[in-house]
Amino acid sequence: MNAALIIAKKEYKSYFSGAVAYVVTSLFVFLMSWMFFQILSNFASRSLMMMMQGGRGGMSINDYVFAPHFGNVNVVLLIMIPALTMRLFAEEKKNRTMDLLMTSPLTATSIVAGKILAGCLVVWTVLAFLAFYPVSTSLFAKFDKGPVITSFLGLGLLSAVYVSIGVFASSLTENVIIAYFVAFVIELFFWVIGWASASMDGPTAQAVFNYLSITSHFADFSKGLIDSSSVIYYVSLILFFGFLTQRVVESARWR
Amino acid sequence: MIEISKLTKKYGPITAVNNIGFSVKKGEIIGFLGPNGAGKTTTMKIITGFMAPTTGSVKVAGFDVFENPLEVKKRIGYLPETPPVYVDMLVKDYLEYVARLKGLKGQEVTQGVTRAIEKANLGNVQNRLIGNLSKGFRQRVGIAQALVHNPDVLILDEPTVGLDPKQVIEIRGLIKELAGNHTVILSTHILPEVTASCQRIIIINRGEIAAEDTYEGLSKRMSDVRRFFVRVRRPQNFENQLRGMGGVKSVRANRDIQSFEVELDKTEDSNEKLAEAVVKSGAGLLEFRSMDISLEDIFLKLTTTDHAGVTI
Repeated sequence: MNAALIIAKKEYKSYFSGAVAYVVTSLFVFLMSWMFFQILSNFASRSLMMMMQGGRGGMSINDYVFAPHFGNVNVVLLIMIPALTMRLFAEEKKNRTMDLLMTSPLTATSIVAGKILAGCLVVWTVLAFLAFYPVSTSLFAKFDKGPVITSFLGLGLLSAVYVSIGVFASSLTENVIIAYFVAFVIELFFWVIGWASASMDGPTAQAVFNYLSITSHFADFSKGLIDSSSVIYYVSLILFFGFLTQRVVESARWR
Repeated sequence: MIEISKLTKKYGPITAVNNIGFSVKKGEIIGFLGPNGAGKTTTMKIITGFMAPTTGSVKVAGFDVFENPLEVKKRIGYLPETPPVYVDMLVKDYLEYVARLKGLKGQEVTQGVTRAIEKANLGNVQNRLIGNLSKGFRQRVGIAQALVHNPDVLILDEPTVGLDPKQVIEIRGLIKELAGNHTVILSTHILPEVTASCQRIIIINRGEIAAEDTYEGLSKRMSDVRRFFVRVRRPQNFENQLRGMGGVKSVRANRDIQSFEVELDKTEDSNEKLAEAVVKSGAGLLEFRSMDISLEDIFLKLTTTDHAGVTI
């Protein structure tokens, strides 16, 4: 496990020693700020209209601002995370630095754990900047903090799933573009897999496809629910792709 | 220290290494010699545990590479063909990272890094980005990386590629210095390299061991003939005269027409007789010297023989 931390630390640092982490963070924050501001001003004008029409201004910021905001974050992460993780194994293979890892006294498991951890830490660092929106909103408006906190928890887990998929895709190839695209398609597939439930006949099949969908689980978190089945779902996806990656790394010895 | 037996590696239908076996004692320096594609790198990768063989076994310091890979990897320093360096890291940070990967902790890390920097002579560049270093320096960082955890066994795949002549001499000196405490296997296709630093030579060709001996042993084995270089002023008809002389096995005229390479039977007075005959022939002797059978000759002879045993 110690070896995993050594690798994670080195990878994390290497994101910040180049321009990658700074470019990604600043552009991500710029994009999210613009989107958040649009949602917020839209919400403000609509709730003003409702008040003028005699309503009691009862529109919830949670439902009309934070829920769509976190939905947007989710979409952007879907596109952004494969770009952050695509190099984790592909570049090592291309630069032949994989030789170093493979001939050091490390298990494949700790190599993979280190890579996934590094990816998660970087993404979580970027996500930490998003705390700015609820904190600044709370200065001039009242809203329920619970769903916001659970949404962050959900985003944290969800991004770890994306990282795990991204690391897996990266382990398959030494070409970063292929790594990006494979990761993106797997992630997107888990997004839309739930669509199949609509066309299923039996209630069991419907439930299965619903359960497999990444988005339906995230909906729970954004409502303020921490459903253990959702947590288990995310954790098992992380472990599943971690396991596949471990097999791929290990198999390099037998080729 | 290293025991290899019946090692075979196949890449699909291609057999890269075919049933080779040898052993290396502690403190020995072994030169692994062979043309490109002979199976040197494959064999080395198998010893390091990077790759599994199709059949056969490898033991390092008593540990089987496949049953106890972690124990073996702790004891091996490996420099692959391409030095495994991260271009976005400082030399010092990189070596620290490698030291930690190899399992060093706390004080050992700094000690290991300092020693490796000193041995590979990297003091002046230790705070520079590896990406900004020349190929020679990167190669030295690669060597430092292999040394950082003070391993019992060093496996160096073409360690002097890309270095300038002065650095080559330095690295050869370093490798010699390592003998005794470390067991070294180095591969190369540069022949003087093995003569300069290795105690024992293993010549590998088409995945099989073609010869295994000390340099002296190998040259002795090949020297059932003596070879002389003869240059004369009037070479007309001299070649035929040479062929007629006692003890002469073969004559080859060089391109300048004036000089010849003569192979002699290895009898006690054959050189003396040849010298006498050449002087008497009246061709005007300009130069007469003995030619050593070089490693190049041994190498070519061993590696250009096809499977039927016929010299091409």
